[in-house]
Amino acid sequence: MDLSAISNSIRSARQGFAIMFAVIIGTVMLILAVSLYTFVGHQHSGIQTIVHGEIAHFLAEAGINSSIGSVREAVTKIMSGNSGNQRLNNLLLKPGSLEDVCINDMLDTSWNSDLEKFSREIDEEASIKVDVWLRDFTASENEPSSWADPIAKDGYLVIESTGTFKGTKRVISIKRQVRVGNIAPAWLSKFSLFVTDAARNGEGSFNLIRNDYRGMITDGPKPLIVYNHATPDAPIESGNISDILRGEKEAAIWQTRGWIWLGGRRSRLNLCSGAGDLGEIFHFYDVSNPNVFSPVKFSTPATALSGAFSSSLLIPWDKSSSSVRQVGYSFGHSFVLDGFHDRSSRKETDAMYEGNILSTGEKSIFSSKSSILHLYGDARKGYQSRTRVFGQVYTAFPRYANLEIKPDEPDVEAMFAAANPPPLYLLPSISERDYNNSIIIHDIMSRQLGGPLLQTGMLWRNYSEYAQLMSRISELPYVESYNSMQDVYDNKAARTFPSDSAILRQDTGASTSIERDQHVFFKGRPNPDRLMQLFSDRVHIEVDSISEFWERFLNERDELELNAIVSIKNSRMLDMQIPAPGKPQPLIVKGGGMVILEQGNLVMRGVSCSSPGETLTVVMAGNGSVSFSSTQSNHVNIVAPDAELAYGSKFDMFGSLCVGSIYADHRFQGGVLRFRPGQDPTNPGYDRFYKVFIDPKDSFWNE
Amino acid sequence: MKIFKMRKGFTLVEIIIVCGIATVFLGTAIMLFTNFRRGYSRSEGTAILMQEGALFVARLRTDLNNAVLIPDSPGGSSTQLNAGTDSLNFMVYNSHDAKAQPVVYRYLASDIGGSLFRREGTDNERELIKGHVASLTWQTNLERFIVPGSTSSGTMRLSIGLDIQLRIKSGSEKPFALKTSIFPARLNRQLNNP
Amino acid sequence: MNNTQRHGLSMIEITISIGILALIMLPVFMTFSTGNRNMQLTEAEFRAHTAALELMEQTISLPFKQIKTGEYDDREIKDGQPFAQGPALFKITQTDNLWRELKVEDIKRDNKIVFKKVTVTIKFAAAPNSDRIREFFMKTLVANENL
Repeated sequence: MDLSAISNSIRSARQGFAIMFAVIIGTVMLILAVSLYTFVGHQHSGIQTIVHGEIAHFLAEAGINSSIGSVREAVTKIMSGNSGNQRLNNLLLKPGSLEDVCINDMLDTSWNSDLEKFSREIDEEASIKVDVWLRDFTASENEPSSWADPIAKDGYLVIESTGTFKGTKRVISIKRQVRVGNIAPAWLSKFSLFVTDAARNGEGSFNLIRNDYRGMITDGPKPLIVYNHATPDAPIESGNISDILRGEKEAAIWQTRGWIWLGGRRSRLNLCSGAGDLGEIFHFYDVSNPNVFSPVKFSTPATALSGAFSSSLLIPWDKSSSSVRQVGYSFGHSFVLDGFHDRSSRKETDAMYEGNILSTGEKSIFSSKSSILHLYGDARKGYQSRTRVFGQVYTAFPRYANLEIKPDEPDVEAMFAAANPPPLYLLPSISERDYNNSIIIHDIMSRQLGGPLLQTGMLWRNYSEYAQLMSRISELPYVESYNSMQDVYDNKAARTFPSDSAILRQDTGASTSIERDQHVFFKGRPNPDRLMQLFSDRVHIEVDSISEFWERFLNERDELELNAIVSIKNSRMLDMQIPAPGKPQPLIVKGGGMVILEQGNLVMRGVSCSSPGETLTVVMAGNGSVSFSSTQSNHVNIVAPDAELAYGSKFDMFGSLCVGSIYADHRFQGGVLRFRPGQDPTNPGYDRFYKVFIDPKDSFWNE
Repeated sequence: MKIFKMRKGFTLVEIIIVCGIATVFLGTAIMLFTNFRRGYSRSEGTAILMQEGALFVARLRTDLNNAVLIPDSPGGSSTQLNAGTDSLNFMVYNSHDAKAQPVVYRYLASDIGGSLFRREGTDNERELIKGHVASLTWQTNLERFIVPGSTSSGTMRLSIGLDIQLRIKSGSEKPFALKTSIFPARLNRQLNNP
Repeated sequence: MNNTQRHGLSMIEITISIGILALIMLPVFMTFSTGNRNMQLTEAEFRAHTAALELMEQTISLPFKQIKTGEYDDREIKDGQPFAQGPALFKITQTDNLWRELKVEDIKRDNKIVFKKVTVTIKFAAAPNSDRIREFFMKTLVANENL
């Protein structure tokens, strides 16, 4: 047997075989062992990291716990409005976005040295640090069709505690939402009065006020007087009379006034300026002395009159052919378009107009009733204010012209002069469609003077001649009449006719724009629904009930310290009385804000802002009613676009009023609504009402 | 010479002896190696189980520490921290999205080793432990401590009792068992200060 | 001569091989056992840490007033036993080879207790039934929110 081949191979392999074998096995095992060691090491350090992380977590927790009181105190101090840190205020109230910023340097951060000491007790390598940040601020109201507020922003106040232990770091952040927003009710504060559906009870539902024969308002509703600018007797932000009158001379003064919105379908409104002992005083009255009956007459220049006026006419004393006398009269034309005195001589009849100058049809249209809305204040100087009225308001001023009649014969003239009040020969100015040539004018002695005027061609040869002049004067759209008021103030001898393209044409408000210094706050048609949405987006705090609201926001002196936008669910649908029953009237507003009543009615009993820097807005989301149960004055804005302004006490309100409609029957006691210029967004004073709201609850913690 | 060359080879006895020594040597070495390998994988497995367990508990603890009660959610707190046999869910505030969202831990039991999953909000479910869970229970305990004679409603304390056992079915690894209670800090604070 | 020498080397080779293998195996086994021991230690530390967290968390979960100042040793910290004089009870998971201590100290400022410093110390055996006792502690502050 030849084993040489095997023995050869063994011999050749034998050299170093065992050593190699040992080395290979050994190396493999060494590698495994080392890898296990390393793995275990890694695992140990991994679990150590978790352990260190938990220790770091408790350090961070300690940091938060120990400093949060001081941080909150310091933050509250620097964020407390004007008395706070000016630099922080400037930062937050700066228009535009806000980058993340650490505000440690604005605070007294002594807590960090305390924390350093505490961390040293645990380990030389342990540390705790607490930083305060403003983070993630973004513009919150940036839609001009809804409301674009350059300053409104939402973000977070972040208190960040970092615990470090042996190189492992844990961060605990407490975030509180910070909202910077205005507590004035956005675009509504540009309006004195906003009625969502002014024609809800018919297009003439506001034209209801009746006077008695002494000029006193009788059984009807009482007027709601609206002052659209600061007045000398305003409770706060009062105006100086000379400044007001100076302002009247500015062509565009209406831009700075409180605007009026009469929405919905077409409504008809007689604008008048107040009821007094002498009855209704319509808008263009000689305001120098409202107690003297002296309506301002705008005499039409003779050159503008037709040829019929150029010579006097002989008119029979009586209309009958057997007249005992013929008297010469010269005629002129004037109009008291929008300023005349309504003083009835017969109770229950045509309060405004002497004699039976209106046909039955005319009466049914125009009647003698004036409007419950007295949008131009009263007759006192400085109380009437030009403003802007939106809506389909097609008759804002009564439209009558005046026939000037001067008897040529002295005894007849003396008779005329002795009549008290002096006779007014009012001419209805009516549209072509309604033209009625059967109108007969009577004089004050109930004697026929002549007429029917238009048919006889006494003034005009034909209707088109009449229309040319009369229509120019008295059938102007109401909004084009503002210049005539200017004329009153300026005592102009000659009447200036406004041009057809005057800026104040009837305005449906479809492209309303509210702006200041190139910033457009609002552009479009004001929509109460979107306004309500804006408010609900602004809500800071929600409470369940009205009682909870009072409990939470009345201070120990029963003053309201709101400083936030609070929504009240009020699921029991209780009426909200402000102030609450049994509490002092008026409610003093120490810290303004906004209250959103989700349902239920609103009853105002008197509210007073402690300073011009405060404002209170009450929003009613439902469709109930707003009423005033006290004659106390109310410094408040009311936003209730679906609710009705119900009857109650005569009220005195200082702010903006938004209601769905106004209840107009004899129970309506009227009142005074005063515009608050300080919260007009086109006025820099608006900036006072920005508030920085810090959520009282930590909204979340995170690590 | 030719015979001498033959003598240079090994005798059968020599070869048998050498083979014998080599076999013993090799056998010992292989046995050693195998045992070592088994020991290694046992240690490695044990370490893996421990690490998986530790990471899971740390994750759960962090989540529970961030858990919040959402006041408006219907049903109150009972619906907000649910511990069933196969799932544990609660609400956690997410800083990034600035809203509370549910975190769901799901346990999928299996004879060959259960798995554990976690899902946050609308994110995809992630597997935390794959096939190593031998048993798992989690239960909520709500204690109420009232001072004797006091009229107050007392102090509430909520905890999650966790009992988990991890095992690698096929191997001889030492199972990892952990039993502890976790006290969600924010929830407890909210319970006593609504 | 050569033949004889070759046989001799073969024996030496084996001896050397065993020697080398032994030399290599020594650190291998040392490493291996250290690794295993470390793993035991890691596990023990982890359990100690879990026990510390359990005690710490339940303590600071209580309202400030109920975190009673004092020192509590392992005999007092048992499941179901009152914390101080109650009403809160300890909720402790039974763990072998592990001893707990809890210390609550007041930190005062202007004579008012503003914080409580809570220290949890865990003593534990490095390995089951080992005599080597290690210590691990955790501290935090709880603020008095009623101030």
